[in-house]
Amino acid sequence: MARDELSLLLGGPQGAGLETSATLLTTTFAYLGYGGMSDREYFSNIKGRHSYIHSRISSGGIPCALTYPVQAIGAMDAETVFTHYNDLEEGGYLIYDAATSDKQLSSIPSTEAELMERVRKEFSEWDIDGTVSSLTRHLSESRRVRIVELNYSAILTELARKFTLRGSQASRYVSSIIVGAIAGIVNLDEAAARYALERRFSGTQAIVEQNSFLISYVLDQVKSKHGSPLQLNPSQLGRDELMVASGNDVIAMAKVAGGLRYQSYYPITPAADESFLIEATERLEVDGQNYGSVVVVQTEDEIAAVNSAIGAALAGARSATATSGPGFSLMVEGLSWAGMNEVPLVITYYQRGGPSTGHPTRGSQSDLLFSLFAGHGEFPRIVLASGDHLESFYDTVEAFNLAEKYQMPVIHLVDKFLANTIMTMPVPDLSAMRIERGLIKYDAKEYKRFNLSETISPRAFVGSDVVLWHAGDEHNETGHIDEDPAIRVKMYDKRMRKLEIADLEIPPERRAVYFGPEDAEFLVIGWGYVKGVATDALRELERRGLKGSYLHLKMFAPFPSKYVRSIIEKFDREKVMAAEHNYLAQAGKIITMNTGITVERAITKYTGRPMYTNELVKGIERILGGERRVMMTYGE
Amino acid sequence: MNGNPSCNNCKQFLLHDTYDYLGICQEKGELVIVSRATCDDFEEVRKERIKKAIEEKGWVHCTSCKRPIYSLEELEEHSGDHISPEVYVDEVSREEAPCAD
Repeated sequence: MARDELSLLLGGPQGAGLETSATLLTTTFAYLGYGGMSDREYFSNIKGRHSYIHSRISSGGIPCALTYPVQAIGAMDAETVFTHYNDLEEGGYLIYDAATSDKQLSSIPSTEAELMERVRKEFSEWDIDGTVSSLTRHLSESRRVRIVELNYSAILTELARKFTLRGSQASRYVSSIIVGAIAGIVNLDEAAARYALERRFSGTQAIVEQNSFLISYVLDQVKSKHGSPLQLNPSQLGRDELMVASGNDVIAMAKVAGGLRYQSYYPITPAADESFLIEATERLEVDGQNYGSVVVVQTEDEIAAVNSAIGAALAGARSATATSGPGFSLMVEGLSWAGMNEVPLVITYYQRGGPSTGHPTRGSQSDLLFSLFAGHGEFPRIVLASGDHLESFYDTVEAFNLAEKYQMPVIHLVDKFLANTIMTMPVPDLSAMRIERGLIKYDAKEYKRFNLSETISPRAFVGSDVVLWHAGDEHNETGHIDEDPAIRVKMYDKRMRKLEIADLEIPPERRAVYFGPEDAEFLVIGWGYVKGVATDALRELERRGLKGSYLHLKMFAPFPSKYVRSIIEKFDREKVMAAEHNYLAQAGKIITMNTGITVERAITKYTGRPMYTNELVKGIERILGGERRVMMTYGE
Repeated sequence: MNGNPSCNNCKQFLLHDTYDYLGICQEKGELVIVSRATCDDFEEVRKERIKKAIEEKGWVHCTSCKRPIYSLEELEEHSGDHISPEVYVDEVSREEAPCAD
């Protein structure tokens, strides 16, 4: 019987074809009209260690969160089997290489010692010898797991019989074995898989043909032996056009659509992919017509990145930089300079695990407080956070508009989970998009950049027909250094009052969004990636008879204090909980700071892995059952 | 190096740095799917060649442990492991490895 939804996990060593497998499958599903999301989890050593793609595919809509258990695992190696066997549902499908059958857990050097210990303990309880074959036998007998054993080298031998294979690109072929196996289990249309191949390997027809054969060959093998038990119902999405993009991609596109003209960066995970994409499309040409260009500069460090972005903004370009925690730490002095000089700078801040180098390739929401308070001295800034891909597109454009309208730095927080998740999504509606550049002065005699007659004074550009000055010091109206106490107070007030203006002008619905019924019994508060998980968890809880709601915080400065207070006050205090990927429940602290209300309950996760629907459901139930703090840990 | 003739033990063979059943035959210039079979061009990699590689190049690769070996003393610790004087890096692996700095 066909199903509405499917969760998959593909695993293998980094740098060995997993990315291609995921891209091919995601594109195939999207081509067939299914909604999908795929999160990529990987180690920080770039190559060789374990990575996996966790996907959720739906015929009924676009998934907004991932969950466990999965219905099928496609393993490129033994480490995947040993790492994820507990993620597979009872009766699920395990696809793996027969050649790994005799592989022992202890012989895999790349497995973390702690994981090895956990698995060894379980193997000991089960009294199995620790080989892949002993594990698969146990899973088959005790959990009805269906074993799909394929001989990868025999499959490649068959391929080599038909084609001359490029020896230097072996991973191109191995990735298609997994794709073929999944395609067989799910009964995917081969024409859709071919489309995905042609997109992925455009310009190399030989690779397309070889992999098309491979997918077809494996698909037939799997179907003939196992059928297609995980077939999906036809898509009900009803959309003619869908995009498949990562969060990084979407923000890159949004920046270009939003008028970006200068991007600086120093490469850092998980921010760099955004800059790479903008760099690849530096000259925007459509049908031979040049629509403009973006200057992208990879600087020597983040200090140079932020300062050059400030320079570009002063010169009148829509300007941004993108970084993560360690990089933002280096940018802080520049941020302070931008605050003093009322510079419309956008910093796209991709959050990863800290402190220090921390968890470079893992996610976290532990930099909220940092983004709000970084920088010596007091100066206004806007801090906003996006909850999903589509939101991040519009927020990116909005970040530029806000920066230029209120002439202050805007920090756009994006979780690594969002950045690295590939989603099917509707094409953003550009018709409602506006470019708002705020007050600009193109020429003037005796121009005063920091004119005290207006809180937000018109901005002229360095290099234009206007003479102007900027310094890091406190200044007078023309920008010259001035330490007079009276002018100090006036300039300080001028800067800080801009945030008050922004607080009055930016409507509450652009700063926080309430999801749920008016008569909800409990409230979950979150931000960023939590949006999708929380709304998904609430749907599941409603099926169980629990009616809850989610307050999604989008803007932290200026904070929508009145609106948030009005929502929280409707609930009993013990039914209000923060759900965040950090230790302190930082957003909860910001709520307290701005409203006086203490958020007493918290669901936290700081393992570096994203929250999953299945565990958040349990977490909420535990809070409603009386616990004050729940720490979630699911996922390898 | 167990002396059994196979591509794995042939001096023409460069093992893939990730998959232990794939490699390149330098003689034929082709992708090789490793099997117990050999061809007429088989020539065993001898321990002497491994030692020479360490002395001249500074490293060899232990495909069992997936890490380099930098000295003869270290080589002694890998008795029974599969040692290759060279590996080849898949030229498309950079497309498969996300940025991780």
